[in-house]
Amino acid sequence: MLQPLNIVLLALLIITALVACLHRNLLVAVVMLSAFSLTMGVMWVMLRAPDLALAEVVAVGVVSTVFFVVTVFRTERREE
Amino acid sequence: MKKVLAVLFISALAVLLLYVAALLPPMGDADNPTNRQVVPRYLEQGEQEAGTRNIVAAVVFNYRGYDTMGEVAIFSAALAGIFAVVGTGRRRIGRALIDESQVKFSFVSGTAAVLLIPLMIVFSLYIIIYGLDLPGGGFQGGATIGAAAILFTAAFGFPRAQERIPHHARIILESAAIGGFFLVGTAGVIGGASFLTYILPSLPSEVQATVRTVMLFVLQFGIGIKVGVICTSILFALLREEETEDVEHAC
Repeated sequence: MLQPLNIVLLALLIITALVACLHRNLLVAVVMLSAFSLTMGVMWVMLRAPDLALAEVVAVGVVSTVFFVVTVFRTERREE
Repeated sequence: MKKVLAVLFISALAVLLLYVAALLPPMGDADNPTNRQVVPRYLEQGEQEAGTRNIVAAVVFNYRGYDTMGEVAIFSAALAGIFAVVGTGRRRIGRALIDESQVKFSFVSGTAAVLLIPLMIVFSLYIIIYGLDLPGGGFQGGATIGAAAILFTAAFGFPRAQERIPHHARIILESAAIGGFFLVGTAGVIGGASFLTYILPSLPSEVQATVRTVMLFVLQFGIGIKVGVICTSILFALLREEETEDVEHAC
């Protein structure tokens, strides 16, 4: 099961999730969340769930990222 | 005293929840009821029972139709809440910070947006129309329409996007989508069938399959329109600046 691509994708998921949680610059965190969901979309395709992959990439990766970016620009750029 | 009580209460709750969780069947076991009965039934009889080749669509619209109905209602409630908090902006064309940006939108990005937006809309229609047979469906297609609207707003500015996608059109589309969902869901009840089964018992049995496919199409389009409109409305509500607000500090 553990092919090289799987390991790379899982490592990317962990890294992007950690950066999204820990980074002080909220814009970086939002972009990392988007990267997380794009990686997750690839994972869903590999797990034979293309429905979920489409929903993940479009709804989480694009639409809610834009909402987060707008919200960050209208509030504070950096975490306290 | 209060703290001791709180700790005791939380501990008791934790013990109770862990006890219940221990009673659940082991995760991923091949002998679980879901793997022995539910999944084989869906995979073997889904096409015949639900009328869709895509088993995910069969689950979403037929076997778990109530969940989908609840989701649709939640989307409407969320939109109503956002309108209640930030206002609808019905009367005038609002302004937004993105139109006052110092960085001009470049020619390359504008051309790319012009080329991309029609493709995105065609793709979203494709995955909505083929949602009953192929991966995809109303939600994914609707979110793609919403992404196209976001790209349009980013490329051509907020006032123009508001002119092209006006508030009253969005309200009409949204109401038509949720009304269509409930009408189609209740249509069978009048003839004696169950809610959300998409069967009209009064019709002869030869046309039943066709009627069901048409109804499922209506649902797919309804959900697609709904999700697209809601994405656009949330974006507009977030972008809109109040006239009285001091915009200097917001950057």
